[in-house]
Amino acid sequence: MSAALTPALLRCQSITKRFGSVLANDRIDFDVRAGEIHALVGENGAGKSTLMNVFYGVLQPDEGTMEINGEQVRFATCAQAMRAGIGMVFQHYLLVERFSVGQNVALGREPSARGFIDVQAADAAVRQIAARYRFSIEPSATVETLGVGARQQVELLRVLGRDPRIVILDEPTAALSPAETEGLFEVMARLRDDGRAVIFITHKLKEVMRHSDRITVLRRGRVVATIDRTEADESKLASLMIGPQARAPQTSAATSTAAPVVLNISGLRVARDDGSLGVAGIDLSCRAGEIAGIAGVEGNGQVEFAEALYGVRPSAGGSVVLDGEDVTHAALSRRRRAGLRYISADRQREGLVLDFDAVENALLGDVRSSQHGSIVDVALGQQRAAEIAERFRIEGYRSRAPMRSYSGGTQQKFLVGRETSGAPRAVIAFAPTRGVDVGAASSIYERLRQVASTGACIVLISYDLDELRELADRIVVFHNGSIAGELTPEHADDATLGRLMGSGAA
Amino acid sequence: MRGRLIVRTFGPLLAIALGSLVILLARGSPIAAYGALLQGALGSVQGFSETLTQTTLFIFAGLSVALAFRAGLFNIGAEGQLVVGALCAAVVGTHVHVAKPLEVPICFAAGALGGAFWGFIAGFLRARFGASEVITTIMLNYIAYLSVNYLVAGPLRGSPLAPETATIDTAAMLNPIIPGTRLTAAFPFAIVVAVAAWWWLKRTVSGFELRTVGRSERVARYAGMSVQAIIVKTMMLSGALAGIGGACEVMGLLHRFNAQLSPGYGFTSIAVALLAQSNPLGVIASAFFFAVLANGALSMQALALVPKDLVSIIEGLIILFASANWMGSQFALHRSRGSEPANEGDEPVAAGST
Amino acid sequence: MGLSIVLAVLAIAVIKATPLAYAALGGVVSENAGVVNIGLEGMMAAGAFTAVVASFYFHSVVLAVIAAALTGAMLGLLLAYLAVTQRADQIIVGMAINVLALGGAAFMLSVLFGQPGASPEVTSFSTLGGATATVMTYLQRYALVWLAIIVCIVVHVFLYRTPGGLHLRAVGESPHAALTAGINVAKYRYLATIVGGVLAALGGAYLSIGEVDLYSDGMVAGRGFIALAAVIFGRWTPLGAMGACLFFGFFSSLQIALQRANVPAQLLEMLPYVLTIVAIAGFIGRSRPPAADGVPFTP
Repeated sequence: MSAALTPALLRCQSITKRFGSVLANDRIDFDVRAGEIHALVGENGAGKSTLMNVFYGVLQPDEGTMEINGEQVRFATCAQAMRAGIGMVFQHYLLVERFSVGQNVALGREPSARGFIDVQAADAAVRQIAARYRFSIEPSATVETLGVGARQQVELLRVLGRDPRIVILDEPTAALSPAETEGLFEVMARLRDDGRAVIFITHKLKEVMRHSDRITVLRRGRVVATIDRTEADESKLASLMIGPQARAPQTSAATSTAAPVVLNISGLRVARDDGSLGVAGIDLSCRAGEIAGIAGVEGNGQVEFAEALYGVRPSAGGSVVLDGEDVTHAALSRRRRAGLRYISADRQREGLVLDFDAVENALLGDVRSSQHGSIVDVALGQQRAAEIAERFRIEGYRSRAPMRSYSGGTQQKFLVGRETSGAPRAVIAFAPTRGVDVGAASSIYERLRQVASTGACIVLISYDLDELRELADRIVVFHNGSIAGELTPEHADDATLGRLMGSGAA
Repeated sequence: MRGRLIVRTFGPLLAIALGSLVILLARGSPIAAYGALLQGALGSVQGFSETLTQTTLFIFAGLSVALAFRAGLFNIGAEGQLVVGALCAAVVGTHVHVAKPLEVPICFAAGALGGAFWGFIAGFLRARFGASEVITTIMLNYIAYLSVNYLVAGPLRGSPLAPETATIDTAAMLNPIIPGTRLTAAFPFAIVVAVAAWWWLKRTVSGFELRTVGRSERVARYAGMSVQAIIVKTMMLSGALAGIGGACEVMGLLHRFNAQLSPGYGFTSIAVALLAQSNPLGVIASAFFFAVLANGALSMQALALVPKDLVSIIEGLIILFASANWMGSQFALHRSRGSEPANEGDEPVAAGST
Repeated sequence: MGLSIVLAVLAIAVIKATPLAYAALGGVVSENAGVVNIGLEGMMAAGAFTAVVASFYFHSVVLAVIAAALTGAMLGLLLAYLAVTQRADQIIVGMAINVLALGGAAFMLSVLFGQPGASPEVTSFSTLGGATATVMTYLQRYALVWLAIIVCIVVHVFLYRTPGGLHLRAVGESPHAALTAGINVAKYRYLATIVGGVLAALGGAYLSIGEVDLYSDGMVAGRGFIALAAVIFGRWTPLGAMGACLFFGFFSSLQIALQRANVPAQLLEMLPYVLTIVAIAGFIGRSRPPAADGVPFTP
């Protein structure tokens, strides 16, 4: 392979980036060659996007160096990175909705005649590049009228129009249909054949195995391995991504099938914000004492599912029945009264008010059911908060200190504690230990098991396969808004899960 | 706690210091100017009682804005709500005749209802259509002045000499509690209302909900609160407070309604709320501070020959310093329908403290 | 006879619309870059006052206009610094500018001229061009009116036909998209806000030395807020805002004409405010500001 002899076009050494106490990139060495497709894989939070943002000048590294063609570079702005020949297609497209395709593509380097934008030249340029990569796109169309696939094409045109030597794509196929995905890889192959360096970030191991030349695996901010595609296979990649084999999952108490069904979801359909179907008919029955796990790559309907189940988002069809009561169209507060609870993946924006103290946070979600009518039941809040503090052994607990003063892990423990108090019937736990250290995570697991043992059921949605194997009685895999398969924890090894998650087929 | 106190005093001190600079530039003497100001506002029974009378109005208007701030709403319409409330109180005071002890309470109620109605319009538009209350309350202010001016020059006119209503019933009047002054029971009433507002925010379920919405509409939603209803109720409450303030003006000072009622204190109510960091108890002190400025200004002009508008400059500086919210903007001029504020998760500038 | 009345009403409409138009155009420019300017009222007052002061000392309308523009630029810079660099609350800053400018003008009025309430009369546009009415006279006297029309066209062309305008609008719609396209978000926001200040101040200058020849307390009378309304009503476009100003100006003019009839003046005066509420509530099509309007930018 001649690529092996080509020197690196872009190389970085010891790149380190911290966000507060979080070490997003930890002494990363990475390089990509001209005429190569280099895949960057890792779980959520492994640091992939952070590294790419450093390359593109959006972020500045705390330590480490970068070189292009052997020359040291340092990018303080995107403009500098672009001038050095780097182009980046972001996962969440950065397009101006109201502008046309032509305007978006030309933004920042508009062809102009005597001070005015030369619209015809701009459009012609769009058509030219589009033809090259076989996109069928109309320069005068407004971006907000376009679907996801077309928008990505615009984003690509925007980047390719500047003739970059290095092209970075962040999760490019996350929201594409199979046909669109094929089209995209054809484009990437052409880029490679043109002699450019292509870096693409992805979860999907199948894609990596089919289309990349080299693969770098990141785990918790560090490079775990950089290997040629010929030396890799999906299982090996999966285990590199996830880490040393998890210990044998603790089998939870087997739930007898005679246990009553607490939560019955049937045919649930939910629309996304843009109108497309995010959840396309999910059937899920959870029995008393059961922890039902939901696995899946981010963006396959889990968020819409959880929101519709809890009542934050209206459903477009199907039904949700809790303890025999149809709550499909019930308001959120009604569902809470019926015993439904929600542990959010985003505690700062959905679960806790950081400026309130522990007592007030303990009462959130419940404040109207105070025994004292319209007066806040401070005593209940204090009792609850104290219970949570004790149960989770929260050190330095002061009931009057604002939630902000506790660490992220403690905040999360608190949120879990609150949502599992008051004898809930069904708890939706969405990534309950995201961003939380191991110690806090295990006390959260303990609590969830406790709650299940009281006869409630738990719907555990997670991106952490270890977590699912550890807690869940069964694991259901979401793919494109439907259930792709169901496994017991013993059979849910990374390869099998990976295949179901990545392509919907075992 | 101490940090907050420092922030609260720093702004006014800096503003006063800069005000001294302005006085010097105008070839005046800061010491003489501020001395005259304090003398006028605090140096005599007459002056002090006027200051307290002024404080009363500022407390109500300031509470109105402060409560809205706590819910994440920017109520610039306190002045319009005040005026509508005042007119309602005057109308009830002139045309509705009930048993003597009831006259005062029903006039207050009329003022509250009038102001609440005016606040409701903005609240409804915001909750239902996502129309920014910043714009709607400003517009409603002007609509209020114009409507009210039209009404008292026309259909509600009660005096052939001037565009104003008739004098309200004696039973509806508030009498001076210190003879020879204009200070009425409205002042202690205002203090009671401020304390009640503080307690309400801190201890009641509705107050809790209001504060939660002010911190994060999203968290409030996830906690099962009906955010839209809370927004409407808050604007109504805010309007009611301003309306009661207007009623006090009518019942205690003018004994009728006319165009002289509100000499443009709309911006001051915002300054009062910002300086108090939206804490109802703080509003009492803040209202007093601004009342001293407003009342002393005339003395300052008469005795030290420094134009009274210096006070507006100081007020503007205080508002300016209060704007420096180092973590992001809370109030959006344009919001999408019933959804979160523009910048989530940051320290809101006026959402204040308990 | 009827025709001359109609012409008179239209002419007065244009005159009434001019100060609004300047301020509204200033609002359009800054909001298209994502900065909300509630302080238009204060900037108008500052411009009006500074123009009078400069005219008083220099006896030149040109210098007066320049002085007003500089004042507007300084206030715009203040807003830009606080809003963009300090990420302060734009609405509160705008309010502060209003109070400071209005109070400052009133203060300086007393200090400089000794008489509270109004300045002495100064050289103004209304005395230009000599006693006989020629075309030159009209050109000079209404110079600021013609200039307003020119500014409107220039702003329109700039925003929709030039690269700079595209960048500015991108900054207001999607600052992250602009940033990753290599555009300096802060620079555009600063420039747009300063220009906005200049324009608003020019509107104020027209009020004091264009229409009349002095400055009096309260002469701005809420026009800054009507200009804000015109921005919304005109859907954040220069032509739309200009049209809205003409519309409002027309009602202002109508109100004067109907004073003799028994139509209550207040009802007509109320119209701009009511219409704005109607527009912002979405009853007249969707009211869509630039997507990132009013939101401080954190890269």
